[in-house]
Amino acid sequence: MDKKMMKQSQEVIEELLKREGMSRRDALKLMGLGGAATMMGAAPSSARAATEAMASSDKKAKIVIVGGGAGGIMAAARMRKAAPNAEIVLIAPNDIHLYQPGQVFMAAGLYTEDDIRKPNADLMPEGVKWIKDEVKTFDPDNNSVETANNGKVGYDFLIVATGLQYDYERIKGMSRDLVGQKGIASVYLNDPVKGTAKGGVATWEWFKQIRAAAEKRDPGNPLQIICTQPSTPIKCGGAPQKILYLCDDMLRGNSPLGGKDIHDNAHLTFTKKGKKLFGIKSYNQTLLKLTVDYGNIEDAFGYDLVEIDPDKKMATYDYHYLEKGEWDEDLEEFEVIPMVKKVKMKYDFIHIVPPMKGVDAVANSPIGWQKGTAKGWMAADRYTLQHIKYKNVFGIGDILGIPLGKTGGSARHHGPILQENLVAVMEGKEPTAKFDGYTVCPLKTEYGKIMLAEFNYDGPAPSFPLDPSQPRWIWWAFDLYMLKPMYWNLMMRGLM
Amino acid sequence: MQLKKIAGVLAGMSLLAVGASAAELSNAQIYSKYCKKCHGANGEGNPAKKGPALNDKDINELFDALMNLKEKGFEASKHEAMTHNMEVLERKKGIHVDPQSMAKYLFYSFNPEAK
Ligand SMILES: Cc1cc2nc3c(=O)[nH]c(=O)nc-3n(C[C@H](O)[C@H](O)[C@H](O)COP(=O)(O)OP(=O)(O)OC[C@H]3O[C@@H](n4cnc5c(N)ncnc54)[C@H](O)[C@@H]3O)c2cc1C
Ligand code: HEC
Repeated sequence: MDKKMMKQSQEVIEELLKREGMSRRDALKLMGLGGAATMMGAAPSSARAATEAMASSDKKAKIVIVGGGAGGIMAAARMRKAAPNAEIVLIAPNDIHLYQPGQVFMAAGLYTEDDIRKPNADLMPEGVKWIKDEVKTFDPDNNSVETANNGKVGYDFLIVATGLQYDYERIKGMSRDLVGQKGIASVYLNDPVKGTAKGGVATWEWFKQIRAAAEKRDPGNPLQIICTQPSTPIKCGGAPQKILYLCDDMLRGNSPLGGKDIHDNAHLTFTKKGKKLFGIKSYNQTLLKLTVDYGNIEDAFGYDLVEIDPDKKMATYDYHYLEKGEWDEDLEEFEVIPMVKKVKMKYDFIHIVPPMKGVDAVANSPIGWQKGTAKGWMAADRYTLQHIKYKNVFGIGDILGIPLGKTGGSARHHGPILQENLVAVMEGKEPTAKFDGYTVCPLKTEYGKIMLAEFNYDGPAPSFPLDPSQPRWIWWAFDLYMLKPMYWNLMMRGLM
Repeated sequence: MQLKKIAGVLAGMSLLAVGASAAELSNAQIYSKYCKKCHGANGEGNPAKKGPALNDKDINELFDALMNLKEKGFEASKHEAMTHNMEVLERKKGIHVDPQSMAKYLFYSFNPEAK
């Protein structure tokens, strides 16, 4: 860790003590770091002991991992230690590893693209064979995968860590090339193979353009800004709203661009098909109140973006609503008939979050769900992360076809579950470790504040003894200064 | 005065009783009382009420569907009619369906493939 980082971390702690009135010991405990040693990039001693005590197997076997992102690297690091006699092969095309959560800070003008890139070779654990290639098809009936350039690769055990893919094209008239042009931004856009995060760059430019345009408007003729969320599952479900709030706060003059408060010169519309800002009541209430406090944000529920005309700056939505049907005796209420109609919305600037889906190789093979709400995502057990049919196949990260959990924080929680269960199966036992649905969303509600929304299958699941529905400065500081080094130095080494 | 007071207490008690019984309903009771008419006695579905079959779904699929229709994650419900039904049941009857245990109940009671 460099000097700058050290200094920033120290400032974070000092400020934390001041603002929350805590002892230094509590503050460190709170951050789950366990001591100053962590500040140097070493693992907290307790975490290291726990890792060593974890399940391991000395069986000879060939483990193939597909994907070299957050999940793939963590799985490789963990299994390298847990299965010392196994041959471990990782198949991934990307030379560069992107710290994707940092794309939001890029959009906010606080990180650059270089801040979130690292050569994948630096992260690859020693003793893991890396095949720089892409898997075209999975053939789990014959325990093998077909690669683009290296033919078939066989395995005894398979870990699927391919992440998901963006589906910009599902929106008629939209393509990834439009991001950064004609008032269109999309923080998500990145290319894992090229190692670029164009979405972060383009969204910061978009912020600047919006500020310049809003300066020429007035509250009677406000700039029209739309932020969308698709109806599909998405990674980091809070990011569409992060951009919404950060953009508005930028107009209030709180971004690195500074300036006067001109947010009344703009009107922001947040569109999504669902009917809630957040699936959990306490978090939802905080966000609803927040939109009211901003004063210029309108939530449009039931709206699913289906078409865009970039030249006319016109967005077309499927608007979903319920029409009253016949009286239902059992429910003692009228039944409802779901209806859809097309609605157009004019905009000056639009932030588009693409629909997302499982990667083709998974969706088009028996590895994926063939039916149901999770069609196209990996057919995994929601607790054990084991494939529902192929018992020697496990998944980690965004590709899992389970409710909740498409975040880097979830992948971190998948890690130990996957390790324990895969070791069990290697030893001929049943997998018993259970993933609880842990998902974390550091929802940026303004520059300098985050609501650290942690939840699992049962509901809210705060790690810290503080009201989780309250946006706080400490989480912002933690996210901005500490999470990235922790990601590179601890998570990617399987230490956290 | 006295009568009014007693009536008040009685009303309070009956309210409590309703609350308690709703909270204590097992998944089997919830199903037979509030789901069966639309989804069939054995989860085979009921076309007359447009209720789809539930007995052909894997436990993970059922769990995913139940989480999705309650909009527990960030994605929109794919079952808008059922999402509405669930809201009505919660609001009017005080029924709270727990996706994890209900998925388990449905799968092991109705799916012929359940071991
Ligand atoms: C804008 C944004 C903000 C985010 N914010 C947060 C946040 O604040 N907190 C948080 O916890 N998470 C956040 N996330 C989510 C987090 O980045 C992901 O959940 C995490 O990276 C998932 O890891 P993964 O391994 O499943 O997928 P990825 O990290 O995407 O990696 C998938 C890898 O698989 C490779 N691959 C794909 N297909 C194939 C194939 N057929 N063959 C071989 N290799 C293949 C890809 O090249 C890639 O390297 C954010 C993401 C974005 C985009
Ligand atoms: C008034 C009729 C009605 C009642 C009562 C009802 N359902 Fe439904 N249910 C439906 C209809 C209609 C659909 C499909 C339409 C839709 O997708 O919205 C559905 C869909 C579902 C689905 C999704 C199935 C899939 O295809 O993935 C599940 C799960 C479900 N119901 C469970 C329940 C449970 C549990 C109860 C009781 C608490 C219940 N339903 C009560 C009518 C009903």
